[in-house]
Amino acid sequence: MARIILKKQNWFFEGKEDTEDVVLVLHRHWFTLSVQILLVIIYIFLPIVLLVVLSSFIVNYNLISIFSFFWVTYYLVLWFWLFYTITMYTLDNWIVTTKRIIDSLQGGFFNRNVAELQLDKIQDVSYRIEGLIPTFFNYGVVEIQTAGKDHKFFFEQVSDPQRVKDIIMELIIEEENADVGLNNHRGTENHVLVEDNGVPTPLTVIDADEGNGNSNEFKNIHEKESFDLNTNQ
Amino acid sequence: MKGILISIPLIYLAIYWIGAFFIVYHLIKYGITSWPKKIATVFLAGSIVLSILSFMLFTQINWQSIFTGIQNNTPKANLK
Repeated sequence: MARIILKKQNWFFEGKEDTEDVVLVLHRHWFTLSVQILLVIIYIFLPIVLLVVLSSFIVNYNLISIFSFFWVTYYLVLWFWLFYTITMYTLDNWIVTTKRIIDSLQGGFFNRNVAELQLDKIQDVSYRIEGLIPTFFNYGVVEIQTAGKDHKFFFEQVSDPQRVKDIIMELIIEEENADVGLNNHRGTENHVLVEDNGVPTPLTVIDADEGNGNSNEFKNIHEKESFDLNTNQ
Repeated sequence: MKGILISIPLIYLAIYWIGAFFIVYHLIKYGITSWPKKIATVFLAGSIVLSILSFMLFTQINWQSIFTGIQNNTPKANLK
């Protein structure tokens, strides 16, 4: 099975290390934003309705100029509200790099929470799509279980959660492969992974000094052919 | 009186632009990829246009005609 091609970008973000590349920048699905934008669009028509209903009153009381002023000012407020919503949506993101996952939560101008997780700390990645609309638009929750205690990372309402899960798994393989390369070089231990129908499957980890005494032999519990993880496709 | 009336939109616009600064600041500082910078540019351009328009419309308000219109249409009190 073909491996996922990881598109690595040299995008900059606050706290980015020189040695890491950005693989994914995830936001909530556009549908979650569209609901709020729809609300703004509805509010755009409010002054027009008001003008139609109160037209005779506005003309009689010479309120055309003041009504125009309030109309534009109202649009200025809507403009601010629209972009405030878009800003919060844009800054509430998850960044997946070649080294770690960064969870940035923007809850307002003065409320920003950032958490990060090293790829080698990840134990398990799963996803779930629940409900009619998420199933229809293909968005859901990606759940990342870490090695430490019972802390979990959640990517909420992200598009194509299966692909996200696969990419993270692919990155974990690359990360472990890098460790293998390093450890092989040191001659201490070996970690090998193979792919099972496109999904990476961990193999038994055998210390190079154990087994049949041959440090180049690795036991594959699934009896599948291992592949060179060093290849960067 | 005129000074007070002029200061109202100025105070309002000052508050607006403080908020606008925070939006642009956050998008540029914390945004990743070029997308947030584009959003910030669009927001800034729209804010400038709407602010100028809002202020211009405010200066064109004829307060005298509004007061006259209100006086003419207010029912007189029955003093019988």
